[in-house]
Amino acid sequence: MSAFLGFAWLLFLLAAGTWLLSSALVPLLVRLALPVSLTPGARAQRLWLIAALPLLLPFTVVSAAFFLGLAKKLDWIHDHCVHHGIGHPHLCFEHLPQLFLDYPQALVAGGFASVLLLLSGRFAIQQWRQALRLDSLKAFARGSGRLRLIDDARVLAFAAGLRRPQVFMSRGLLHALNRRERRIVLAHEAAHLRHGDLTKTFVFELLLLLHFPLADQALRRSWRQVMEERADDRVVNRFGTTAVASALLAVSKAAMQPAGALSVAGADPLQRVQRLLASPAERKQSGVFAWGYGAAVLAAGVATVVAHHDLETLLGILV
Amino acid sequence: MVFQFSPVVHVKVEKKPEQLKIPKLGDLEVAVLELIWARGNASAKEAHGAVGLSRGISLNTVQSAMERLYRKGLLSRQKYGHAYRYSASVPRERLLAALINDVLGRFNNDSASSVAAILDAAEQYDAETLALIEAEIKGRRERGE
Repeated sequence: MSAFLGFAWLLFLLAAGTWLLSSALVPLLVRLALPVSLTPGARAQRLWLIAALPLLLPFTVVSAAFFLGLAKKLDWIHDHCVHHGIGHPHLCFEHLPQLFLDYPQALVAGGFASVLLLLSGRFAIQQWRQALRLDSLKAFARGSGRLRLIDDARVLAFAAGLRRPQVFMSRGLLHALNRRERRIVLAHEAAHLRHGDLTKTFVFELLLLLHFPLADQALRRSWRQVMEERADDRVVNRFGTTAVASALLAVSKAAMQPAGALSVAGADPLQRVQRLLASPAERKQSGVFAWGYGAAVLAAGVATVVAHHDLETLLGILV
Repeated sequence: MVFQFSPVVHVKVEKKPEQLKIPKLGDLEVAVLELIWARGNASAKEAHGAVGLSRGISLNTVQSAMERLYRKGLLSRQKYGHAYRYSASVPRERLLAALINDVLGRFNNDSASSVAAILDAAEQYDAETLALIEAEIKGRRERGE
């Protein structure tokens, strides 16, 4: 039993090490891999890949190590473990590591698990509270379908809710905009509902649980900007670029009025307007990042197998 | 004319948030609140007559709802004879504003992941950039784009 625990401890060290490495890479990727010149779709794809890195990389490396142990057990590869000396734990089911595991190891592993459980629990509670708040807000709002009207003087329009998403618009917004602008804003929010943006954001936030605090804020900001820009593009197909840019500008100006000032967790409208007005030729797509990312993650898995001896030496130093 | 994509300059205006903790409110509680905001104050019997009868709800249920609102700090009450008269502790606009702010995750660290808001408007934008954008849009309209 203790030998299996020893093996599990080695896998945990591998996972923790690669998680730290991938977390260190994330800020660099956010800085370099998300130029605003890319289309929102391309940036969304990269954001998914960056957000998934602290999960994907440890999973790949641990799976590769596990596969290695299994491969030796099943005689798929030559068992050379007997040639290693003491103090060199083996990622191997044939020669399980003889490690002395005590309270420090238990504390570290328990600490990691506790933090993860705490973050997951906090996230679940936040989502539950948000659902309760939305239910309360719906009780105040008029309308019973997908569109709800809130009696508030501020300029507000948002899509909300996971189980039954709805669009909320305020009295202030309806008064501030003309008929066409209101239709554009409604179409924008409806686009979020139609394309499951709220569910995608929920899953994205789940991935962010594995990130360090400042890195997750940067990813979150970029994600929300991308979501809004995608919804803008969907509405442009129906109303035209100039009309959508004009509506966004009208909303921004109306919200700048004293009664309209409100800080919400949305996206930068002026950046969105400028993007809409920019030449289509300036908007780029690129598949290079995705291919490079995939190759790098795969390489990490392959390297785990090929260089497992060096990895075992490193683990021997750590334990 | 090619509209150049350039960074926007923001001047962030910081406002000290007015935080009011909004508890979960059910449909009946909201109906009672709306009644009291409209009338100024009401007894449980009056509230039952206005919002309970149409819902097929008993006087006790309405009384419990008002008691809950009182304990949540949203209603205050004074005894007149044997009965309480309830009035609102929080103005409607303030409660609704606080609730909306909560939903939009304005003042807390909640990720508010289930919300997609159309704008981020606590900021005062650079007037020059605004003017440039407006001019560009006007120009496009005149060209029929």
